[in-house]
Amino acid sequence: MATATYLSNPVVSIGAVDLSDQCTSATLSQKITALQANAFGSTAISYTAGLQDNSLSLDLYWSTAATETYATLKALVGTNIATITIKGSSGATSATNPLGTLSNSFLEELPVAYTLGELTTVSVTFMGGTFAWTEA
Amino acid sequence: MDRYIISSIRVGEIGKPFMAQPSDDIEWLLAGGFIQRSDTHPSKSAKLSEKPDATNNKKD
Repeated sequence: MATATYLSNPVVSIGAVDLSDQCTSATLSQKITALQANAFGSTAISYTAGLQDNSLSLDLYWSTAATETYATLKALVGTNIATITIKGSSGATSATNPLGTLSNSFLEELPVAYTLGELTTVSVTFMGGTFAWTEA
Repeated sequence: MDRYIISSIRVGEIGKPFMAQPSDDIEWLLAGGFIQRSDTHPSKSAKLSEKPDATNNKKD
């Protein structure tokens, strides 16, 4: 039977800073690069695992109030962030509410979108680093 | 050892001690105004001439 999750209160934190109430979308990509491992005699493409190439993209409102989005992100551009965590619900971490942790990812840019008549937003992508799920 | 106090709800309850994890970037948290150094050291309680609840414990 198909199940659906109504994502209403996920939690995303950059380091110890919880930015959930500024975040409208998060795209986590746990990726391991596929390396072709063929040789003479191969009859089909085969792959082996290469390096991790994880990323986490967040859409955030660009609040410049104290301790909000601007204060959180302004000093992180061009740096490696120790930990970023995300989970689907604010409830306790469990097998059905796993906590994803991206460690040592890199923030390349801070592209702020100012649009007339709309709330200002920023879409950031944390690239690279190691990723792991925690279920307890 | 430095002590830190939470000054933004983004890292916890304001006024509570901030329990830093090894991965926490303290300088970044300080610069962003999320925490602040505690400039007060634990001190002894003020001495009172009478225990605060002394009157409550008196038996008639």
